[in-house]
Amino acid sequence: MRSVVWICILSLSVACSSKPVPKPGETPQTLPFLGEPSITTNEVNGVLKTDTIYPEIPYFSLISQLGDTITPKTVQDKIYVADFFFTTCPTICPVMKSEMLRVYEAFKNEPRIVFLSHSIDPEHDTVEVLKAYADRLQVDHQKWYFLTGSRDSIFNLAESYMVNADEDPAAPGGFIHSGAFLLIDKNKHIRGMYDGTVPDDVNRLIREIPVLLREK
Amino acid sequence: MKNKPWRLLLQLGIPLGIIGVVLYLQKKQPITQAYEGKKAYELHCANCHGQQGEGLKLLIPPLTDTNWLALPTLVCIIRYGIDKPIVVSGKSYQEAMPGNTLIENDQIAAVATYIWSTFHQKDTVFTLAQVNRALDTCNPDTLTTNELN
Repeated sequence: MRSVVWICILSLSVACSSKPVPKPGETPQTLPFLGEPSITTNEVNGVLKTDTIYPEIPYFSLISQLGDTITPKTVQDKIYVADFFFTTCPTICPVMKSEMLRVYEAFKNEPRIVFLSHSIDPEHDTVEVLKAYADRLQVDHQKWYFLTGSRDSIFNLAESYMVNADEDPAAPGGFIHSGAFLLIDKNKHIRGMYDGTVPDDVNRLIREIPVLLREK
Repeated sequence: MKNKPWRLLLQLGIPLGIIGVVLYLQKKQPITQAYEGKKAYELHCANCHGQQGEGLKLLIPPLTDTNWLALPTLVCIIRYGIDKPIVVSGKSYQEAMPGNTLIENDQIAAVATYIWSTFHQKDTVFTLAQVNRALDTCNPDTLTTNELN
C-alpha cells in the first residue's frame, strides 16, 4: 500500500516537472536576411568571388489613406513593418490590427520606423474607406500608412514579401491571406517575419526592432 | 467477524459515493456551461471583440453596453450580425459585424452565459430553449434596443 502511495507521488512530481517551460528566447545581436538569395560566383583576376544577393522589395507605387502616393522613396532611410489585410476581413485582421497597434504604440515616438498595411481588396478599400478605418483605429496617418492601388500590383507585391494573398470565394470575406508581419530594413531587405496573430511572436518583433534600428 | 465491517462500509459507501458524484456533477453544470461558453467565445468572438471583450478602438465595440446584451438582442446579433451604425457605451460604430452560421444554438446560449458572467458578473445561465425562442422572433432588419439611433 505504501509503495502505491510513493509511486503516485513520484509520478505526479515527474508529470508536473516535465511540463515544458517556454524559454523567453534570446534576442539576436543582428537580424538575418530572409528570402532565397541569389548566389553568383565569378572569377575575377584568377580569384573566385562569390556574391550573395538577398531579395529586395521591388518598386511600388500605392495610395495612402490621405490620398498621398507612397513609393519606396517615401520610406527611404526608414525601417518599416508591413502586412496585408482588408477592412471587411472577419477573421484574422482584427487580431492583426490590435497586435500591430501594440507595435505602433511601442514605437510611436521613434521617427525611424513606419508601418505599411496593404489592402488586398483595393476595390472596396478606397482612400475614403481606409481613411475612416485609420481614423477609427486612432493612429497617425503619416506613421501608419493604409495602402490601396491596383490589385495586381498589390498581389504581386505580397509575393515579394513572401506573403500569400489571393481571392478565395470560399473563404470568409472572400480573400485568403497570411497574417504575417514583415520587418524591412533601409535597403528593402526582409529581416524578419512574424505571425501577427500570435502575441508572443509579435513580442519578438517588438524586441527585434531596436536591433535593426541600431544597424548602420 | 473480520469481514463484516468492510462489507458494511462498501454497502454504505457505494450508494453514498454515487449520490455524491451526481450532486457534484449537477452543481458543476453551470460551471461546465461557462467553460463551454469561454471556448465558444474564444473560437467565434474573441478574434474581433478581444479576450477581455474590450473591442478594438472605434472599429469594434467592447461588450460593455448591457443595452445590447439583453438575451433576445444578443442572440440575434450573434446569429445574424449587424449591418447598421450603432451606438455602444456612448460611441458610434459603423463597421458591419458578420453573422455566425457555424455556431450552434446551444453554443449561443453558452456564449451569452459567458459574456454576462465574465464581463458583467451576472450569474444567469441561459438555456437552449430561450435561445430558440429568441431566434424565432429575430428580424435582423429591425434589430433594435432601447438606444438604437
